Amino acid sequence: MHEVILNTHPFSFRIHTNAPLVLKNLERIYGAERLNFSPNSNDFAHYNVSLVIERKLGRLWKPQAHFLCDEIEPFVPMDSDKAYAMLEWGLNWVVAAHEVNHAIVHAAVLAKEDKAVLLPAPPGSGKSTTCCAFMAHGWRLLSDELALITPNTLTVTPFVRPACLKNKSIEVVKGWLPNSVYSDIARNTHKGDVVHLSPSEHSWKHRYHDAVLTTVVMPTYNANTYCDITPLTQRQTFQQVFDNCFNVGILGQEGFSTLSHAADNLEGYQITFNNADEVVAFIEETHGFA
Amino acid sequence: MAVAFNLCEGVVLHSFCDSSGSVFYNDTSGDILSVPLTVSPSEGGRFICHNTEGLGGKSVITPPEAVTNSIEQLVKRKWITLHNA
Repeated sequence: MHEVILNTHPFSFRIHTNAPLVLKNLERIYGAERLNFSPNSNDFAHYNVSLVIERKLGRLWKPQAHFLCDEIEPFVPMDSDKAYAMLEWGLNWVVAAHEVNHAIVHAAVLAKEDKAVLLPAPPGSGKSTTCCAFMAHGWRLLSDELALITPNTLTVTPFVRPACLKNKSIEVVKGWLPNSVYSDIARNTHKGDVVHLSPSEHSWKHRYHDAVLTTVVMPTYNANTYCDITPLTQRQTFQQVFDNCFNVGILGQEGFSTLSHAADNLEGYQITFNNADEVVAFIEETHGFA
Repeated sequence: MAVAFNLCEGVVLHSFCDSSGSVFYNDTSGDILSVPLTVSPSEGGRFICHNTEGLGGKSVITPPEAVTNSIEQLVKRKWITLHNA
């Protein structure tokens, strides 16, 4: 069994694993500087997780990957060739389930300088693809999955992690970002074929720099729509952010006031598109990001 | 249409400054009720009035029945009590 500490601001993870696939992809995606392959017991980590490959009776033909956090196994096991994707989803779950110092919205966040755009959306909406389009235009990624908003402010703390690409979007994004670093492909997961993309060097470099939200974009990919933009009222913006917030119930009134403050101060748009470049161009041209 | 009410215990509200409506939050259950009403503070309770909601660049006046339905829902859930009810 190997032990490694992954340092991703603002959280670190002590990972136990017997999966060479996991170790190889961790090093490829995060780089050696964010990994401690020889931690001792005094080295701090916020969370302890395991990704363990086991071969059990009844599943002799394919070993199974189990993700655990403090003895809790939140997911059903997956085939071992999906172990790295499972670890990434597991790390998202750990933070979404335990973090209480921020309002956590299921959203991508991208920034230019210190001004940020929030892209809250359910899975399958094209959020990660849009996110990569922004990166291809020089934006830095703060998160592909979890927006960490400081309560009662518009400040977002970066939680720089890889973007999760699925199915057709994999080749599309490889066309935009041919020199980026990609994980091994995990085929036939419950989300289809999945690849994780390492954020740009610019994103890693600014991973300690908070940004301030100015805009909310609800992206929806539709092959038949070039780019249809509808402004949202503050009430509609609030509803979208609330529906995608993991921990508003735990934060209580503080969570509620954080989201309502955000809706009061952000411009909201619903954008249906088949051309992500147009989405980026619209935001850059109309919100002073150019 | 103007209705005065009191918020029940554990319920908070926020009115959006673009007059698109208000949202009531129940701190006990963690639920919200998002309503197309503008709610303003007033003496002895709150004041509910019609609002306009900008949608796609157009202003839409909330119809009276939507106002009535929203108030009924809030009362039914015991999130507000109406004055003189």
